[in-house]
Amino acid sequence: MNQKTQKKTIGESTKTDFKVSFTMLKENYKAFIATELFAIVAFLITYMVLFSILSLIYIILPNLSVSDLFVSIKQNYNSSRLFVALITLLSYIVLVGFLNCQYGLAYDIFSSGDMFAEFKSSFSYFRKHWWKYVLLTFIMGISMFIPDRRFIHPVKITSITSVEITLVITLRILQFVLSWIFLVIFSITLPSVTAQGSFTKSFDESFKILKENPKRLITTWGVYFLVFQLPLLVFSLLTISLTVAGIDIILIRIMLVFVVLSYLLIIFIGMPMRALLATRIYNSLIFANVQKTEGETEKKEIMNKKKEQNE
Amino acid sequence: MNKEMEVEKMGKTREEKERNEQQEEIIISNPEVVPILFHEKKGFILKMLIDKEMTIIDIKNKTGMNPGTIKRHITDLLKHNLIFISREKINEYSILMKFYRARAKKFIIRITWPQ
Repeated sequence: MNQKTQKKTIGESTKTDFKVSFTMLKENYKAFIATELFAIVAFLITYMVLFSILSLIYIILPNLSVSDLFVSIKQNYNSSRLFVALITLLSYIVLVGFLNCQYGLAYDIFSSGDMFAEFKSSFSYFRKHWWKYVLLTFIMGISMFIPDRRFIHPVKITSITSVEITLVITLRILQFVLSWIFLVIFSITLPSVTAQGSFTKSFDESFKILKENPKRLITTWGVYFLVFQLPLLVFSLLTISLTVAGIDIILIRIMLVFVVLSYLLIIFIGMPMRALLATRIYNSLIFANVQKTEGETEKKEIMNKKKEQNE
Repeated sequence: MNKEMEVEKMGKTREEKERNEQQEEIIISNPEVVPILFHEKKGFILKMLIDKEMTIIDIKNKTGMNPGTIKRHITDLLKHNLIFISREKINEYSILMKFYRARAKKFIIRITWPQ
């Protein structure tokens, strides 16, 4: 009986998490979309500017020419690779730093007291927390470093063996499961770092909340993955399988359209929802804990302290 | 010593009470504050906050104004001490709500020129 009640409560909490987060996203979508678009544009500009600088270096240095960068990459493989890696890393920092400012927007909605978010506040969150956001995203996205499709050489894709395709599919599924596990474990670190500012303390808070409410986190992020991440996995695996099987090119193109749509779903709805869901879970559990142990006045004091720390 | 502390405490409480309660009237003698009172939107928001405490979203729902614009007007009114945060409440969805209220029910302007 108790277990049933517990299950119902967790189910209801997850339902409320999604309902509240989606309502907040609808009401503040402009701020979230603007932040995402800005992040993408800033990423592209940073990449282009750095690449131009790199090209300039190649032109200026007498021993090198721009063709070294594009054509004779093998001769200067190490230096080229290092530069490209550096450029990608710097651009990636801008992209991830800005994308995660959505946690700041979610904080504005749930915890600032004003219940709305503005695009311009993303800049102040970027200034305050960019390196923490980048590091935490790196930790959460470790599973993405599992090589999957890189096993398939584009030229040889049609002559791939069944063992190789099984390996690719298995690795993709493993990647999917691992990224869900990492999200469950570390999801609270981002709203925590936004609320209280400390990088190390965010892990403490995250682990504490995970220890106390594992079912809530597993259920909410499970549903999140089913809604936002599963379509991409299914369509990309189907695309790979159809390509390998050499089936009708039109069908593959249709699948590719679905892959693109799945990416758009993740970028424009999934990512803001992730920030809102994580912040909502963080808030509700922190407030519930405070309510349980200390009462209404302390709850306000803790909020004020958090705000002061954040300021 | 104890009495002193008690008086100090009482003084503080009264001060706090005054800070967090709407007064009957306030006399404005600072010429910088006058344009704020006569600003179309700020004045309108202030009038609403005289009647009852409201959140930015309440004001948005009532006026249809952009919450960002309301926030800027509210910040200006707070800066000039015409309104105050009357209450902070965490609602059933764990969202912190800040309520604003006008400092007084009536604002009397008394300016002498030259001062």
